[in-house]
This record gives sequence, structure tokens and C-alpha cells, in this order.
Amino acid sequence: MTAEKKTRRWKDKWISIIFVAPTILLILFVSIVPMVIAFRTSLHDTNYGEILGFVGLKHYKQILLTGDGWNNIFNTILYAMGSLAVVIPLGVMAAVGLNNKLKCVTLLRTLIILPWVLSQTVVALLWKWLLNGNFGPVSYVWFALTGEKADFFNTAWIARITVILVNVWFTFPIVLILTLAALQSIPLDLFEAAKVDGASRRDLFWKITLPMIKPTILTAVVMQSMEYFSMVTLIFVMTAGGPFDATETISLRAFKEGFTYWHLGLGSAFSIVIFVMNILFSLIYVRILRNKED
Amino acid sequence: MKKRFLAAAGLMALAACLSGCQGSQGTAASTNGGEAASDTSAASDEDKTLTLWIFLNPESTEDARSIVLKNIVEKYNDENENGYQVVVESMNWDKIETAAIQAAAANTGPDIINFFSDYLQTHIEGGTVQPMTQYAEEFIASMPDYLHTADSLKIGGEIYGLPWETRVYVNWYRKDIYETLPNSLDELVEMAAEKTDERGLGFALGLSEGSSASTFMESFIPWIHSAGGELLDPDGKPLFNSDAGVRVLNTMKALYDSGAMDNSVLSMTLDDVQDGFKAGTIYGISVGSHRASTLYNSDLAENFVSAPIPGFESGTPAPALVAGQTLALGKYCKNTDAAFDFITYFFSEETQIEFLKANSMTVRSSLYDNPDVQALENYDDLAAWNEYASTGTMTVHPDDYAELSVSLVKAAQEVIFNGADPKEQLDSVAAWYNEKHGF
Repeated sequence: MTAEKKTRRWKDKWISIIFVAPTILLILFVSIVPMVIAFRTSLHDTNYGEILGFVGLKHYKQILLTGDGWNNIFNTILYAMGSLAVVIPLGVMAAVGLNNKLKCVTLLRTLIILPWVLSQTVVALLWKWLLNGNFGPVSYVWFALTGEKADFFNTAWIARITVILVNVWFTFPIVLILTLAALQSIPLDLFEAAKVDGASRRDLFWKITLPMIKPTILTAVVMQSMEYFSMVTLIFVMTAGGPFDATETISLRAFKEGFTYWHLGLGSAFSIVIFVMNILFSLIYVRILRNKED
Repeated sequence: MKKRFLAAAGLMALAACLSGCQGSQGTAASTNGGEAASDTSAASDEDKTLTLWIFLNPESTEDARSIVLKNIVEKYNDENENGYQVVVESMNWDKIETAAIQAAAANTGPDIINFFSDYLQTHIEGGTVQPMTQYAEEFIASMPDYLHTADSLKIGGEIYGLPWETRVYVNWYRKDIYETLPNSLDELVEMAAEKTDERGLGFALGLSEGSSASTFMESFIPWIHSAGGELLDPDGKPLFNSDAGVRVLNTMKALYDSGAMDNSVLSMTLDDVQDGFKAGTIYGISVGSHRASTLYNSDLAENFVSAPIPGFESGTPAPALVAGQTLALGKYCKNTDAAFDFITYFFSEETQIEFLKANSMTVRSSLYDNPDVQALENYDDLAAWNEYASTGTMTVHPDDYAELSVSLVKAAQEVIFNGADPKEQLDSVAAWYNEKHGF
């Protein structure tokens, strides 16, 4: 290797480092350092913002060895998986539909994407009002049709399903956008060649479209899963975790313990549990989708 | 210093891990950092602004009290000779504690902070406020008609906040539905059950744990007082698991069993109860006098009437639950002289009369004799609330009042909706509270 080549490589290496460094530093200070501090806090007792004595795994035992803690974990998995199970197929189907040449496609895309631009607070307040059992418009129509009051938030399983469906309404547009972008990047030649070979519409979807957008779906699954595991506002505003803790997820509990009751150590332990669950579930998704690919 | 840094970092860490909750916290994004509380009367040449954290929004015209606040700030900014300008940072009322404690952990926070009196102890323990005893004692002495004495406001020998308004919790009824008003809680149960129809509930208590179960506590406390009980003893030990507490939960259950309330109250917060009343789907509720302006902003307002919360004994109302919005000096206030000077603007006769017009009860008793006040359209309401308020006193709750409230409402939910034994439920909350505090 000539000296000139070596110098060039050395320069390229440093230029790469300079470009990557801001991102690495940002991740380090905004994600890694807070996580390390949260882990440290979770091992201590606290009084408001003050960190007190080391208590070891006391807070983790409080989560993992109590019915309350497992109820939160169950609610979290149900909320995340229930939402994903509806959001991904719905987002993909809507994207495939909107990828066709339809009349008013731009208007349709705008309308469907609209929920995504709203904040969690606005969405939660909107649906809380719409579904309110006493004065909500949905309840009013329901009462007019059935003569009975609608009850969306006062029975454990109905409340769980309600928050999942509201979450689906709120978040499926991002899956739609990602999938639509992936669909538009598939070369049309592939479809034309398959058609020449006698492929049906179903074959085109299952054998060309779906495999081509699989990486995007995986990205969407991981992204949405992480978002659902960490979601607080939507549930907090709609149900505050009730009725009877049926919608109290780990992230909501972490928020309440940390910022309402000021049990910062316990709140931090809950946030570490969320982090671990995010890692575990992401690994599971990647493995499942890779295995299928293999 | 290291501990402080770690504490602040810990709070940030928890917030960062809870990425999904960023939108909900409503934290004050910009606060003017200040040095530690010592020698804070020295004015800084560089920064002549005082930040005020308060639930009112001077840019809004929805709440009449916001307009009064706007006038106070403008007047202070125009008139004061020290050159300071007050900047209002408005935030939701139930987010102020969180935001202030987070800020205090990072050695910062507002110069002046407004919060609900129920949370005074939380602010003291959370390190968000500093004593204002010297200023307050002198000021209270100059205002003989102030409802509170300096001694009654002291906690551990210091005054940390001055209530600038007072409120009393009352029952509101639809007078087109209730021809006569109930004289006792038993009568309330009976009448509310009769009034319930297809369109609405005869009476509703909000039994959600949302908003720290505040709407439940606003009934639970006066009811338990009426039954001869107490929430806590002077040392903070639980007393609610008494016969009086059991009687209260049984009466709440009777409202449900009789059909006066249905399942929907389980998820109702204060705002839901209020909105249901305004919408005409609830015929009786219990909310504070300060909500009058909001309630009267309804097509049905001409049918609304308020009355003291009935007690267990016929004809004797439950002792009033009194509370109020309170102003305090932030722990890291830049200039305590200027900040306290601003606080005094809330107490002038002129300002207090403006608040009265906005259905906010004054803390200056002599104003009820003022001809301008007596000429107010809402004077009868104000006078009645003031009379009822005199049957109770403002209570300082423990710093974990929110957690206790949520535990109590969960016990009540079990009793009312799942038929659990009230004594067992209350004993269980008391046992948890005793263990927590080492009683």
C-alpha cells in the first residue's frame, strides 16, 4: 500500500468519525447515561429527588414478586401485542389499498394520516369524550339504538379493548406511511414479469409484495412495539389505569410511582423492566422474521 | 452537590426511559435558573424577570380568574419600582407539583409558585418553596380582615405560603329536578334514587383514581367529619378505618345500590362529573365553589343551585371542607423582596373584588360588607358559601396525600362495585399507611 493510499484511508477514517461522533455523543448522553443512572437509582431508596441508601434488588422484588407487578406486566404485554396484532395488518392493508390508482387518493391519504399528527393528550381527551358513558356522542347513539347505556371504561376487559382500539386508531398511520413508501420502491418490472409467468393477484401479493416489504414491516413492528411498551399519556388520560388496575401498564405505573408518588427508586426499577422487555421482544421479532426468511 | 446532580440526573433518567410520557408531564420548559436560596434578596442586573408558575393562563378568557391574573401581572409590571417584570408560565393544575419537584432537584424552579393548599406539605418536602415567615407575618398584621392568622399558617414554625382565595365544597343540584333539597345524606340517597331516570343519574360521585382521586376525597372528608370521624390524627396516623369511615363507604354504596349512581361513576374524574352536570345527564354533584363560573357556563345554568353538603344528622350539614390556592416563594427565587411584593398584589381589595366577581371567594372577610360586593349578581351565592365555609377550617394534608387518596378510592371501589367489606378495606389501607410511616 502506498503512503498516499494510507494517508487517504486515515483521512477517510477520521472524516467518518467526525460525522458519526455527534450521533454517538447524543445517544450516549440522552440514552446510555440516563439508563445507567436510572439503574443506579433503582437500587436505592429515594426521598423526592434525593437518593438515599442502597437497597439492592428490593424494588425489583416489589415488581416481580407481587401480584400488582405481574398485573402490570400482563397489561403491558396485552396492550402492546393487542395493538400490534391490529395495527400491522391494518396498516399494511390500508397501504396496499392506497398504493392503487384510486380517485381522491391524496385526500384519502391525508384523512387516514390525520390521527398521527395529533398529540396523545388530544387523542385521549377526544376519545374519552366521544365514549363517555353519560354524555358522549357514541353513547348517545348507542342509547338511542339499544335503550342501554354504553360502557367503555368501567369493565376491565372492555376498558382494555377500548384503549387498544384507540391506540390502533392513533398509531396505524405510521405503519401505513412506512409500508406505502416501501411499496412504492418495489420495481414494477417484477410484477410485470410475474404476470407474464401467469401469477395471480394473490401470488403477486404473497410472493412479491410481502417479501419485498418484510424489512419495513420488521422495522415498523420494532418501532411500534417500543412505543407501545413506553406509552403513558394515552392510557393515563383515558383511564388513569383503571378500572381496578385493568389498564395500568408498567410505563404508567413507572410514571405514577416516579412522578406522582415520588418513589423514584421504584419508578426507575419499572423503567428498567420496560427497557429489558423492549430488548427481549425486539430480539424475538427479529428472530421470528429472520427464521421465516431462512 | 454530587447528590443533587445525581438526583436531577435520576429524574431525567426516569423521564428519558419513559419516552412515551413526554407529552403528558406539562413541565415548565424554561425556568430562569437562580443561585441557591441564600441571599436571594440581592437583585441581579442581568435578569430582571420573575417567573410565576400558576394554573391560570393570562392569555385565556375562558376562566374569569385568568383575566384577573392578567390584570395583576400588568399592573405589577407597570407600577413596581424595582424594575422587575413578572412572566407567567401556565400549566395544568395537577402537573405543578411534578414540574416543581423535578425543577427543584435540578436546583432551579420558578421565583413564585402557585399551588393548591392540599399540596403545601408536598412542596415543602419536595424542596420547591422557601419560608416567607418574616414577610408574611408583617403583611398579615397589616391585613386584619385576612381569614388566616400567621400562626395558623405555620408549619414547623415557618410560613411557606399565603392562600389568596378560599373555596368550600358544596353540593350542586338541578332545581327543576329536585323540588326540595336533601337535608341529610340518607335523604340524598333516597331522593337521588327517585330522580334517576333514563336521561340521567340522580347524583354522582367521581370514583376514578384519576387526578389523584381528588373528587372522591372532596366528599369522603366532609362525610367522615359529619359521621364524627377524622382522616388522620394530629401525628398523621390513620383514623379513617373507624366506624365513621365504614359509615361513609356504606352510604356511598347505598347511592350505587339504590340506582342513584351506576357503573359509569367508576371512571369519572372531577371534570367528567362537572361536564355531566353541565350536559344535563347528572342531576346532583359535589364540587367546589370555585367551579361556579365553569358550571354557570351551561345552557342549563338557570336550574343550578348550590347548597351545603348534607350530613348524617338531618338538618345539620357536614362540616365544610375548605381549601385554597396558595402563593409561595420558589426555593430558588432570584429576588424575594420583589417576588413577595408581587404576591401582595393578589390581596388588595380591588383584586379580591375582581376575584369575587369571578366566583372566587375572597380571603378578606370585610369585603362581604363592601357595598360594591353586595351589589354583585352572585353575592347571594358568595355569602352562602362564606357562611358554610365558616363551619370548617383549612387542613394541611401529609405530603403523600395523593397516594393515600388513590389507596382510599381503590378501597371504596372494591366496596361499592365488588361488595367488599368496608372495614376490611379501610383496615388494609390503614395497615399499609402505618407500615409506610413506621407507626
